[in-house]
Amino acid sequence: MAEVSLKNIVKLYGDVRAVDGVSLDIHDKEFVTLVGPSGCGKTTTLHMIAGLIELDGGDILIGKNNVSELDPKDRDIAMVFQNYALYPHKSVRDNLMFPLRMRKIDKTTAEQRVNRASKILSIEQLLDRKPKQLSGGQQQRVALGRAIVRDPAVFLMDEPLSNLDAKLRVQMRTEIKHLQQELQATMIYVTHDQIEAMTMSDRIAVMDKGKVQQFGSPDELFNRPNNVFVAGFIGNPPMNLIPAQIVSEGGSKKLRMGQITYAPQTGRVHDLMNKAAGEKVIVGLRNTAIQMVAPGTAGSILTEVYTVEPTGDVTYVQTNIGDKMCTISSPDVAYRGRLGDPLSLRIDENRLYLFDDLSGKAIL
Amino acid sequence: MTRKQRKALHATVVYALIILLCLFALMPLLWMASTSFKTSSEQFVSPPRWIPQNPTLEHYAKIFFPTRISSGSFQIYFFNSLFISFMTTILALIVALPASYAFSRFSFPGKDAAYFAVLGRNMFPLIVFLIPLFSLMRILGWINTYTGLIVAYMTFTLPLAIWLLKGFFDGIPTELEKAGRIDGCTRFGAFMRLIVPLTASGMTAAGVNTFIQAWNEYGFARQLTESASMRTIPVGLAYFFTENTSDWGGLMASAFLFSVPVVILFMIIQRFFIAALTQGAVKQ
Repeated sequence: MAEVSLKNIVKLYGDVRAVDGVSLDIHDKEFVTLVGPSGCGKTTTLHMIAGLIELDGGDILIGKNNVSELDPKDRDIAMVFQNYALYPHKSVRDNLMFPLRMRKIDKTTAEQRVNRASKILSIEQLLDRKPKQLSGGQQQRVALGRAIVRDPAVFLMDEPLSNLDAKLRVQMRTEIKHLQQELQATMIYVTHDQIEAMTMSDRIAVMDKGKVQQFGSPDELFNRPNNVFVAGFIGNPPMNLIPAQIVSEGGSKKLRMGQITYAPQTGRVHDLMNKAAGEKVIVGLRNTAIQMVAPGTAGSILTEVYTVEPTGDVTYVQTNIGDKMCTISSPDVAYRGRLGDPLSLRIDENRLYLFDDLSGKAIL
Repeated sequence: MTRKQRKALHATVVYALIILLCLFALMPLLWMASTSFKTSSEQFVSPPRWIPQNPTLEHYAKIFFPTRISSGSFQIYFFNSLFISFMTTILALIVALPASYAFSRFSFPGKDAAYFAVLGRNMFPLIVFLIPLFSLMRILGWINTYTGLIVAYMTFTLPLAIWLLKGFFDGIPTELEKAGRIDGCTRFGAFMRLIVPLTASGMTAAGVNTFIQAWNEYGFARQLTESASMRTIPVGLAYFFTENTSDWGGLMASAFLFSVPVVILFMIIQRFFIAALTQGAVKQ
């Protein structure tokens, strides 16, 4: 296993900077996820690490070696693809053997490795089948197996769970994470699904427009987002982001969100507002940072129910705050408000975020 | 009429039509076979007979052992046709395989124009190319040679072969080569080890099609060959008619033998052929 360093890597497609100066230091045995919306450059970045896409700038180091100019086969990596890319004309056993044969590993060792991998992944009984005789989940295991037998320095995973149904995806998520820990592997995982990223990773790099927006642990990203993009991307449901203006009323500063003028209760938000560069800001509130309280509670704001969405263990309530549709969690799971029912909401100011409206950066 | 009766009637009509069409298509072939076994006098009796009264193999004997010095024998024509068609097929596949792969996988300047040019060739009748090709072959000294004909046949066999194989490559996910390159192959190695085996049925389809096209070709073979020893069967067939004689029996016997290999070939591989054509056309 090995650490991986991306040093300011760049990929250009014409005028488009698909990957725009990405730098990441990934530790040995670490599970790092690149996450972001489609077109953010995450898959391109992964393919650059694999050597399938050439760099237009920067360097990639695996261990101590600069691999930027090496062919994929010489980088000591293994990759699992979204569509598994199993060789359809080869049996499962030959699929697993293929990378070992290519590396001229002697037959006995190769067979041992194949047996070990198939035992780890419980695919021993499938070895003589052809890929098309396997279910999606089984194909996924074979694809993982083909990566494991190599015993590579780094595992690269390109949205490996996207083709599975929801239930199997959750199951394989657990298995891949377990596998990574069991093998003590350095794993770089690409997904557009932030839940996958949050549940599996040691650290996550959130990408947008070819740049890393933030690189940190799931907790850091969730609790201390760098900018509006990360705040809106990480977390389910996403953070409520409400455009607001800082106004002076009666000698004190207040937040105006649409029709609502909110007077902060704590020094923390006053301090944040003092640091706000301009008057326009974006208020960030997670669904749990807005609480439904009894009508007339001091400092509460008044809105109306738009819809109620019970999910079983949580009930979400949608409501407009300052012309922005927001999602909040009802403290009472059985709450079934109707359209137009009044709501009194209190903001948990310890968990209120302010972002600069122009740059989107968090105001510290 | 009940629903069942209507269905039965429908089936009867459909089958009757199909049989009629098959007869229409088969009649010339059957007539050809029948005539080839008739004596010269029986060929012209009226009313014509489908089944020869005195079947004979004289025409077959004649085409294999001709009496006239000027005409080549059928086995020479047959060998020429077979050799030229076979070599055309091999060469077309050798060229079409990497070409179609490049059209499918790589982006390079002028790609669309080049692909259009390849397919655009089919918009012109073959005869348009005959005179320039003839001049070219004369300059190269390839008139009346196998090389000349095989190269000339590339002009019409390659476009379809490239088009067919490209459809095939388009249907193979690019991740396979990527996986191969990560697993230890070079780009070329991944192509040879992982992609080419998957295009076997595509190559069969393209190969058979090329073979049949070359086998049936007449115009180029007529103009680019001179001696009897270089003639292919279609050209040889034309020599059964001279100013003074028309040898129907010999013509029919040769034509019958000429059709047999293609029919057998097609019967053997028609399953691949249909699978290949549909797989290329409909992406999965």
